[in-house]
Amino acid sequence: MQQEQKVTASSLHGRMWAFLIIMSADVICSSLIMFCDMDSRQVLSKASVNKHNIKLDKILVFVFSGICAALYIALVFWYFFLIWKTFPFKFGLLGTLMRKVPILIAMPFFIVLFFAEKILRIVSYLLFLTFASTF
Amino acid sequence: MIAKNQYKLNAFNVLTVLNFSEIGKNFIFQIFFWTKAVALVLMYAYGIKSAIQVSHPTYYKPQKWLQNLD
Repeated sequence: MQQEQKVTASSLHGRMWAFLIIMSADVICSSLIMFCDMDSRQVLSKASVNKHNIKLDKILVFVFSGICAALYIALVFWYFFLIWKTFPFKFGLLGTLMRKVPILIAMPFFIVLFFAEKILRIVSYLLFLTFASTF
Repeated sequence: MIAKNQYKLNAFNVLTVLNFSEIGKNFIFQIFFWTKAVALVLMYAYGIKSAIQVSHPTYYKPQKWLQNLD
């Protein structure tokens, strides 16, 4: 019994560290995407004010989006490893567990929202490429 | 010159990038973007709460869960 409690206490430490690392990396990547100018009409202009590297911006949007998607998949595994040793999960009381931990229901909706936002952004970029190629 | 300096100031401003970009003008994108942003904060808050909640020893013992069953 004591050993079971020790495992629980030590695993909390590891879980929280893993969660904080995933959360920090996701916040950094999600924030950096917002600073990448991918499809503004200003990137077409040849003005001398456009000194920042636009090609790098476009690549970074895809790189940061990929990292974010990988982090959300890691978060799904994190939730699974959070609950897999609990008594209700072992014995099939998933309804009771989900009432106690509602985040398990919200997670799939969040992932759908994330991919919807990223798909809209990438489709807009591809349409913009078509528009830009007419010049 | 003022416009040039203003652009330099705002070159890496999030709202500027959103306002000038084509996707920023899309109303559906704005709905998805802000819903996702709020959901992300809530999800992280509930993630920390869930980790602390599930780590309680009662989640690993049958007594709490079996007493509600008929």
